[in-house]
Amino acid sequence: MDRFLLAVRRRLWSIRLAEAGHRMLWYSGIALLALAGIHRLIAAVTMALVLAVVGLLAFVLLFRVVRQRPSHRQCAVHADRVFNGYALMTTAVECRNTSENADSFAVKTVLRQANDAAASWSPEISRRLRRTPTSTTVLAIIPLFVALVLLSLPGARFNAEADRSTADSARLPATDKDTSPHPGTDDVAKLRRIIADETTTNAHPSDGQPSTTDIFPAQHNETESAPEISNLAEPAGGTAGIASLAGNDDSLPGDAIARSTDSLNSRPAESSFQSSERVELQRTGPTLSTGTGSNTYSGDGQRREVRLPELVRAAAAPDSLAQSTVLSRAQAAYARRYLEQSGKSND
Amino acid sequence: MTEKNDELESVMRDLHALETQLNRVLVGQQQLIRQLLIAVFAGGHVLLEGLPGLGKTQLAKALARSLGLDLGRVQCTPDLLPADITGSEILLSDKAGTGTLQFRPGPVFANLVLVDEINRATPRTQSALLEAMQERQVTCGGERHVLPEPFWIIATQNPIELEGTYPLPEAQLDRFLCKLLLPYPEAGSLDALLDTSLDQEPVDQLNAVCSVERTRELHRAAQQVLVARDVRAGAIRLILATQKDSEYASATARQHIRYGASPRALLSIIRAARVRALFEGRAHVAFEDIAALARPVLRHRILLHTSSALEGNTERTVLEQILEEWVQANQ
Repeated sequence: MDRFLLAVRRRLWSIRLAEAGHRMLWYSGIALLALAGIHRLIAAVTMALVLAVVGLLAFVLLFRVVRQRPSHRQCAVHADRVFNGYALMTTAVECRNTSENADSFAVKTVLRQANDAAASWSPEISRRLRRTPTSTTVLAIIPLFVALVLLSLPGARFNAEADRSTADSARLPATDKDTSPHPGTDDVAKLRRIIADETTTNAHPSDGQPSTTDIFPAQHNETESAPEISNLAEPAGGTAGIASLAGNDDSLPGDAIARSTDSLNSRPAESSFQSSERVELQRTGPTLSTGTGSNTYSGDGQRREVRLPELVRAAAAPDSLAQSTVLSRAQAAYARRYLEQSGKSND
Repeated sequence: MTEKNDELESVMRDLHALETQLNRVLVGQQQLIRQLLIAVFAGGHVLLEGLPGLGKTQLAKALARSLGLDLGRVQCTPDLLPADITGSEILLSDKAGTGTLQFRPGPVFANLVLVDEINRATPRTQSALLEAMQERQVTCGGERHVLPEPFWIIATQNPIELEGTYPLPEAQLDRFLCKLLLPYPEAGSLDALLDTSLDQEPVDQLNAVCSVERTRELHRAAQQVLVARDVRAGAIRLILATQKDSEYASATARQHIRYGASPRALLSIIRAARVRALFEGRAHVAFEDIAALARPVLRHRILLHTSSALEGNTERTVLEQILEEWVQANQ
C-alpha cells in the first residue's frame, strides 16, 4: 500500500506540475496580450519586462505546486475517487496512523483489503490519473503566440521616434536632386525646428546655424552662413532680439528673399499649409513694402509686402507677430536681419 | 489474520442468510428487507408505512422468528391506554387475604414489539412508547422496569384512512432510526405470493437463522466498523445541509425546510451505514453507504414550511434535491 500511495503521489505531483504549466501558458498568453496592446498603442515594451512577467508567473505557479505536495491522505482520497475504492484507502491510511482498536477485525480487514487493492490498482495508475489533454495545451499556446508576434512588431514609442527622425532628416541640407518645393507643412516643420535650434544656439551664433536654404530650400544654394533667427515665441526684447540676428556673414541674403517668394508662389493653391497668415517678403529696394497692407497670404499666389516700419515694430516686439505663422515670423526675422545689415552698410 | 477474515465472512454469511429467509416470506421487497435488517442491527426502531395487506405484520413475525426473538404485538386503537402497552400494577391477594401490588408487564416487554397503526393511538398512548424507545425501560408506579435486551420496536402506519388518527409528534418520529416505505408489489411478486402464501403461512415454517446471542454479536461487530474522518465529515455536512441556518445549508433547505434533521439523525445514519458496509463485505463505511441510507433516515425528520407544502412540495422531493446537491459536492 505504501508503494502504491507513493506512486499515486508522484503521478499527482506530475499532473499538478503539468496543470501549472498549462495555467502558466494561459496566464502568460493573457498577460503578454495585454503587454502587446500597451506595446502597440501606448509605449514600447522592452524584452526585459516581458521576460520578467513570464518569469514571475512561472515562479508563482511552480512555487504553489511545490508547496502543495500531496500528502498520504490526499493521495488516498484521490485513489479512492479514481478507482471507486469506497473510502478504502482513506480508511486504511487513518487506521495506520492511529493505534486505537489495532486488533479489531475491522482494522485488520481494512488493511488487508487495502493491500490487495493496491496490488491490483498499481498497474492502472497512469491510465486512471490522466494529465491535461494535449489539445488543451495547444489551445493555450495560441494567445501566447499571438502576443509574441505583436510584441515583435515596432512599438508605439518607436513609431513616434520614427516620425521625429523623419522631421530631423527634413532639417538636413537639401541635395541637388531635391529641388522641388516641399509641401507647406514641411516648411513649417523646418522653420519650427530652426527657431527651436536658434533658441538653443543664441550664445554660439556661428555654430551650425541653419542656412536660408532651410527656410527657402528650393533655390538658394549659396554657402553663406544662415542668419540667426530668434525664437519669436519668446520675447527677445528690443535690440537683443535684433542683435541676436547678427551673424558673422555680412552678405545679404536678399536674393534669397526673392527666391523665397518665388518658392512660395510656386506652391499650389491647395497647399496643405492651412494658415492664412503668411507673409511674403519682396525686396523692392531698401524698403520692404506690402501691397495691400495686410499680412495675410491667401494662397492664391498674390504677393504681399510688409512695410519696414512694421517690420521694425515686429522686431522690437516679436509677440505682435504671435498670430502670424511660423513662416511669417521666420520671414520677419529674416527681414530684421536684412534691416540690420542695411543699417550697417549705410553706416 | 485468517481468523479476523473469517469473522467478517461469518458476519456477512449470517446477514445474507437472514436476508434470504425474509425474502422468501415477503417476495419482491428486497430493498425494504435489506433496510429493515440494517436498522435492526444498527440498534434502531423502525417506522413502517404501507397500505393494508402488504405484509407488514408478516414481516415483523418473520423477523422475530428468524432472530429467535420474542415478539410482542400492540394493535393501536383510539381507546388504547398507555398501561395497555407498558403494563400496569395489579392488586393480587394471597391466601391470607393480603393484597399486594404486582407489576404485570405489557406487550412492550419483548425483544421485538410490533405496534400496528401507531397513528390511531392517542398522543397520550403514543407518548408511553417514548420512554420505552429511548430509555429502553418503562416506569410504572414509580418503579423502573428495564426492557429486555435486545429491544426493537417496529411501528406501522397506514397512509390512508387518516380520519380519526393522530399524527406522530416530531419528538417521537425522531426516535425512529428510519422510516421505510412498503411499496405495492409487482405482478411477478404477486404470482410468487400465491405460491408461498396461498394455503399456508410461510412464517410458521421459518427456523431461526441467528440466536439472540448471535444477534448481539452481529450488533457488536457492526459497532467495530471503521468510519474515516472524511466520511464522517461528509455525513455531518449532509445533516447540516438540512438545517436552514447552518453554514452548510443548501439553497433548497433555506427555501423549503422549517426544521431540519437533528444530531440524533447523524448518529442514526452512521450506525446504519456501518451495518450496510458489512452487508457489502466491507469493514469500513463509504460515502455510498451514507447516500444510500439518507432517504430512509431523514425523510421523517424534516419539516417543511406550510407555504412550501401548499406549493406542492413534499419531504421526499425536497430531500431528493438536498441529496443531489450533497452528492455533487462530495464527488
